[in-house]
Amino acid sequence: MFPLFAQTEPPGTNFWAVEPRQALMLIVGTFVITIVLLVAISRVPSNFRKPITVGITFLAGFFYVLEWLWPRHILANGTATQNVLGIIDIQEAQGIVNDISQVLTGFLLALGVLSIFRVHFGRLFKKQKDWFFSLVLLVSLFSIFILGMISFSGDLSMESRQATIDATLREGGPMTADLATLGRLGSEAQARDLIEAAETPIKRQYNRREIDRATYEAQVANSQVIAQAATDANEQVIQAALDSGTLTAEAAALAKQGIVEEKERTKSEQAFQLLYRRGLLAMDAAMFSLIGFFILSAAYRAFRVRSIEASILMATALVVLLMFVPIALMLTNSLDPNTFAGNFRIDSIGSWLLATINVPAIRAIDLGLGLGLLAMGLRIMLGLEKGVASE
Amino acid sequence: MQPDNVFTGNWWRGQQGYDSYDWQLISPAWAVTIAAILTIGLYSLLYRENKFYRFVEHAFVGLAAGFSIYQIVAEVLYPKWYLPMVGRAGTDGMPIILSHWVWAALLPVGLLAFFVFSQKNAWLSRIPIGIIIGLWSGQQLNAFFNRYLPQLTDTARPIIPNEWTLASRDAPAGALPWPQALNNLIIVVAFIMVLSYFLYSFEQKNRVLQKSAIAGRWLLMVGFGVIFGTTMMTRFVLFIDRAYFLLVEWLKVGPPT
Amino acid sequence: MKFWQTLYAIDRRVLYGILMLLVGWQVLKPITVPNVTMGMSKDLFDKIESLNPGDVVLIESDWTTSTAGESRGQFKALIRHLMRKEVKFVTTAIDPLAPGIGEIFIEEVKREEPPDGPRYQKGRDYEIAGYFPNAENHVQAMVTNVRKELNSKGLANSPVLVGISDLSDMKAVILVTASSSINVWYERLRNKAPLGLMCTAVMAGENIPYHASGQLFGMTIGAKGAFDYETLLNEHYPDEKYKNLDTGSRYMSPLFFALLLLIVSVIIGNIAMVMLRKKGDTA
Repeated sequence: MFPLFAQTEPPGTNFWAVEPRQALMLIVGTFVITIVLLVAISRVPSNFRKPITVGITFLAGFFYVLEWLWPRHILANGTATQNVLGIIDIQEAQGIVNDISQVLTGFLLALGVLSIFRVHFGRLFKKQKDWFFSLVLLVSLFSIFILGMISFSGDLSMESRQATIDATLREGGPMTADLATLGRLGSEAQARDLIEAAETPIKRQYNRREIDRATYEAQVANSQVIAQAATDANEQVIQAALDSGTLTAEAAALAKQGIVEEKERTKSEQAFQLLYRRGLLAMDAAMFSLIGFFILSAAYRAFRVRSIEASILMATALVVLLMFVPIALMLTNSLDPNTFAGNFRIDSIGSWLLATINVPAIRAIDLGLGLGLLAMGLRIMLGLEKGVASE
Repeated sequence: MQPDNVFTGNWWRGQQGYDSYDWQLISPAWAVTIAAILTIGLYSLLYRENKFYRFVEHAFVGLAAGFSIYQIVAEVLYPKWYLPMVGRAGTDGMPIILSHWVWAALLPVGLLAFFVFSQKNAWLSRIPIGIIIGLWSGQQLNAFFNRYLPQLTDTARPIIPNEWTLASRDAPAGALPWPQALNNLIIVVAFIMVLSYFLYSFEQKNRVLQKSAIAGRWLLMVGFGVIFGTTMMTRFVLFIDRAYFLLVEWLKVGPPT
Repeated sequence: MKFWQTLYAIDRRVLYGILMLLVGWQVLKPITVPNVTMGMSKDLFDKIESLNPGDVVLIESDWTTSTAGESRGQFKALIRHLMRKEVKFVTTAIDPLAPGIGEIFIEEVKREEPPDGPRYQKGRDYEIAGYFPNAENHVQAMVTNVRKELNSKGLANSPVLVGISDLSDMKAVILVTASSSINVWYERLRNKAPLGLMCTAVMAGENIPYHASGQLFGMTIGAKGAFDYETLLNEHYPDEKYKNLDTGSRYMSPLFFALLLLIVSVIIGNIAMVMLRKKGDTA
């Protein structure tokens, strides 16, 4: 069996898994060799091209066919193995195959973005019509990407700094002034969370005009007092650790929280969150809510009850619309659901329609769709489907 | 109306009850206002096509694309490819990760996809795409049975009312009452009728089959009616959500939930 | 004649304006009415209600703000319920925007829940596993080796996943989604865990057959589903300190008036057509 497929946790080094500091040459070598191989493949005569792509597609598909059909050996602890002729264990290999697919999909998605680049850079440099909008697009694209990458590298350094604190704690290392500063920052973050959690219900009541301003301010002040008490307690923890000279678990937890808080307060992180939450998410929501207007005007213009089919469609739509809105349900709420008349409640009619007529109708379409996908899967695997793996 | 609504001085001074801190880049009141202006910018399309709409639209596409690449790098390529490939030395208290250097081979293979823009070597891009599509197609066999066998089993329902079999998953054991049997019959017959509508492979000359196909089409219309009705609901709710954002969360003219 | 002609060709901006006015009015002054919960919403609720503290569920949160009106209410109600039951959860996503959105609203629920309830902490009570681009292979990997798939996102030592070695150790898989990602689960789940669905209303028609067949233990549909879940939460947690009603209930009466406008405008369009035809005008 290839040990490649047995991704052991360290320290089990083998040919496929080496110490990080020995890896650079191997990585570069693999990279170069792969490129050489691919260049060689690109030079094959054109009548070999189809067998190559179809063969790769088939092998990829055949992996999961094997996974489905090859007998499983269930071990005592409940896990399964699927050892195919001593070559690979499919169960173990699946994790790798999945990672390969995730990474390749990542590259393919990046490709999609690259085509946006091509179009808009072209428009910008040739100063074509609407070049200004292309500039807007590219600026927003790069700004959120760059800020995102800064935030990501911040995450990585945050992780390693937190691990360092954990290590210091384990080894009984010293409590330094830096750690104390971080701890106080963490304490501020804790206090903020406490205040916000305490204020949320008060603010709601105030905004709903259930309490007046004086009560509101008194209760907010009260939550500040609670937060101040927590801050004081944290300060004692930090001070105690400073006095004793060794890092304590509580102080370490505060310092770790402080690292998170420090990152949240950087200008770049705030700008990133602003672009993401107030820019991207707000526009995402607004963009897709426009469709409602277009559908309304389209339904008014085009929905004509001219045939039996259209009448059935409209009647069903009407029942469904009514059953999903409680105000409409009020019309028939007086009918007792446990009597015969209960069958004529809108929700009863609607539920019956959904469960008894909609189910078989949709199921039949769905089954057809499934058969189509099954056939397409087979055609792709066998290289019969045009345009996927073959011309 | 909330106490600090748009008609009060507090709103205009940005004192709308947000927690603001001196380290913040811009105050939360401003941040919400930016989101609101962008929303209104997109809504201006409803009046007519205009420059402001196009500005916001392009900013949206740019942000969405940029954010996607960031996510691909941070959430996929780094943890699933770069880190296993390069590994991590076990310093600074971080656990050691061994270097699985073979992952390096995946980069050139993935980059082949970019040949899609090349005239001469476009076929090379079919290799990474073939792997992805191939994996998908191999899963389809298993997927079909997992997804549709329970569907078919559920369609083949008992239709004769009796006192000794299971009526449905929810009914008490030992009885199939008349109404349920009737409903089951409707489900079975309707399913067959709709299927008969999709028999395109040969000309339907049989009278029964013709009638069944017509009934199948009507039943399909019920299904489409459900989809039409629910589509309308979704689309309207999305707008209602934005109206709530603008009126209640931004202008504060209505009470919050 | 002129009258029917006008009704036959109302300017779209007039319709838009009426829709905005109706919705705006109802958002500000909603009419509240009692709810009649749907059976499938209750199925979903009951399943969560039957979980024990310390159980772990998987939430695939695939919705983005593009369907916030429907999905947000459902998602928040679900998270609220899980927190009150002290059930741990892990969220995944197949949309790049989704993990961040999930986090924002989990934080919001944490702030809104009563201070004396369980204080949820990321990394201790729940985890956000983030974005996985290839849905089919991701779900396949979740089903066959959930630990390896989640470990690659840095959750190897997470206390949330203690005792989870296989997907069958999770008590439920719940999708909060606005896309067809649920199909991928029907196809690959292999009965390892009960599957629940919180979907947008658009998806209701095509997914109800899966509830009928038992492949879904329960589902909630759109804003009505969110309202159902909020209603059920209210019934089970009547204490004054719980703030149980959210956007699901709030959006019901604007929705009613929007739909009323739709129905009326379709009827007007049809009547105008008939009248114009009667009078010999080619409509």
